[in-house]
Amino acid sequence: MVEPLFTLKETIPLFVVIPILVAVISNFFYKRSGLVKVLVSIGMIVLVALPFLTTLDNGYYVFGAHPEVTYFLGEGVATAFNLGIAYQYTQVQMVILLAFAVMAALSIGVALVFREKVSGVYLFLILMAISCACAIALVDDIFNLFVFFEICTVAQAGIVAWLNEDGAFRTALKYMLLGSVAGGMLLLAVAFLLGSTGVLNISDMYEMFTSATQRDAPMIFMGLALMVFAWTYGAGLPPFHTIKSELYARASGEAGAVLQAISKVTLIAVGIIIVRLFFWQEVTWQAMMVISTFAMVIGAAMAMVQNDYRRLIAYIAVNQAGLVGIGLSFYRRLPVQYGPTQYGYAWGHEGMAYGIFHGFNEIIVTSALFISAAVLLYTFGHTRMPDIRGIAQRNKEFAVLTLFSMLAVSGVPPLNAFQSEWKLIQFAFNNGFMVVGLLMVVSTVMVFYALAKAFVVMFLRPLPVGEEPKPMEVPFAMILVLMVAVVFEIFFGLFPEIAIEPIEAGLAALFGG
Amino acid sequence: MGAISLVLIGLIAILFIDNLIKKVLGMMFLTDGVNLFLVTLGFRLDGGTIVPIFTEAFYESQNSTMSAAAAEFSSQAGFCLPYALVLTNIVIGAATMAVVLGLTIKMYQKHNSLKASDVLGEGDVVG
Repeated sequence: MVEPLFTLKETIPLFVVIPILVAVISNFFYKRSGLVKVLVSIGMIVLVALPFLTTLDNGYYVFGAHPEVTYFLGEGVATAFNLGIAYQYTQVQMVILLAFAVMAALSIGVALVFREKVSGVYLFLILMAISCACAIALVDDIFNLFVFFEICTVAQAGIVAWLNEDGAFRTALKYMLLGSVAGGMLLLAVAFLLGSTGVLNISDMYEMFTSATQRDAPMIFMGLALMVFAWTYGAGLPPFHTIKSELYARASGEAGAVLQAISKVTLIAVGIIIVRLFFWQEVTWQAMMVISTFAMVIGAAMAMVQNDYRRLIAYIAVNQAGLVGIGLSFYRRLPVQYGPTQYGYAWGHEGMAYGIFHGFNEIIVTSALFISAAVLLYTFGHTRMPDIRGIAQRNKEFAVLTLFSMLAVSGVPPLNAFQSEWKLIQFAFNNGFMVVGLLMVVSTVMVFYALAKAFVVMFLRPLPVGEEPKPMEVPFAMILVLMVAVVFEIFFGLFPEIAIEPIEAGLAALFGG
Repeated sequence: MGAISLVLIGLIAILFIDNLIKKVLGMMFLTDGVNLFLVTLGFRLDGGTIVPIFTEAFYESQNSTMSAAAAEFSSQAGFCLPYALVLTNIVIGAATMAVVLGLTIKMYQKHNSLKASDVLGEGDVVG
């Protein structure tokens, strides 16, 4: 039988390769702004097209064509291993990477249009960060996860430092120092897991932990604790919520959108890896739920007291990360009644799917809010809310588009984030997580209040008496991003199943039904 | 014990010492501690006692055919995967260190100080 020369499974690594390639070339031609713009535009179009081209049928790519090796370890352990670095591409990755690629491409589009002369170095850093986020979403090798985690940290710090301001350097340095701790802890986790299992492949470890009877070695628990620590850093959950929100707020508007989208991808991807590896240990679910709930509450509370629009959105991003984390922590043994007297338990696939769906929505909605902050920065040179007023009088189009994203993130029906938040809250109440469910409702109200206040102060507050409302010029690229976000918000608000069903199918593939 | 000590010294330096250069040194200690841990893991995993590099001296010491010496070597050598990880981590560590040192120099030029409390202290976050 003749094998086809090219199957679309080979496009899986292109999610990582294309941004790196474009980054390196655009950095090489950093002085030729026009060429850089064309190259980056082509690269971004290809990145958006990749989720539609890549096969979902057996979406497993092993680098270097390393075969699966049969290596019998013993009864009840595992019998076959992947020796090469592998990428796994299921519907979960498809949905997340689609949202991420669209928002990253639009944000880069804003940078290309907004800046007359683009910096090859700036685009290099953004593209490297995008590439790392794609790799973190796809990777099925725990050491490769560490490698991209580290590169992502450097690229993110570089994006902020590129602004060449004292505060930007300070934030980048703090982020790097904390990143060195988190990266070190992640590598220690890799070492502990390698020491316990002898392999680095996540699917192989999952198979071993699923079938093994003895899984309570102290080394595995150390691995769990250290991985959760690294997860909180990558996702911007407490205790790293302050530095992460500072990083978002320091970056230019479009870069802030990309940075928060990267955090969401890391939150979901590393969260899924932690759940896959340590699902059998109750402390995993509890730790994830406690940290996420804390992030949700503290993010909402801090958002309410902000006077700067960028910081407000940065804390809302932390709050929403908490909601996604709670969704991920719902993957646990839940009591189920099968018949009048028959009881058992089932794994909370559904709750996890809602959490991932919320992450998908948040990538879109929060990115749109960061772009609206970029518009304010472009127009006023700052984002201090008390000093901005009368935007609705000056540009109704921009005001309406921003309002949509604000309503979406506040959980107002029938928009997309309402659907995911509503499903998460319902899942929490239906499965006995009353306190968490109540806190979710309260935090949603707090976010609504914070954003309503911001909208009233900046958009609806009339200009001082006697001042003529000058028309507010907003670049079309920015309006386009906001319009695309509104289309997503309405579409997935009306048809949430279009995203939820593939996510559930992807989770079934990852967790074996 | 050595690896754990290095990691702890590194952590303490990064989190508690009020000097940017000492924090950078702490990063180095942390990275080296983790690398040392991985190296020791290579020996622990396979129960190997020798470094996994097949040398001429080992071949001669066996006084047998090449294939027999290779079989003996593989039974004695440590697990080589962690060494590959260490090599990669050294490269990543060097790159990270370069960026952190670059940022430290920038901060020193601006503030004329290496005290972390002066340079990294809380200020107006959004400029």
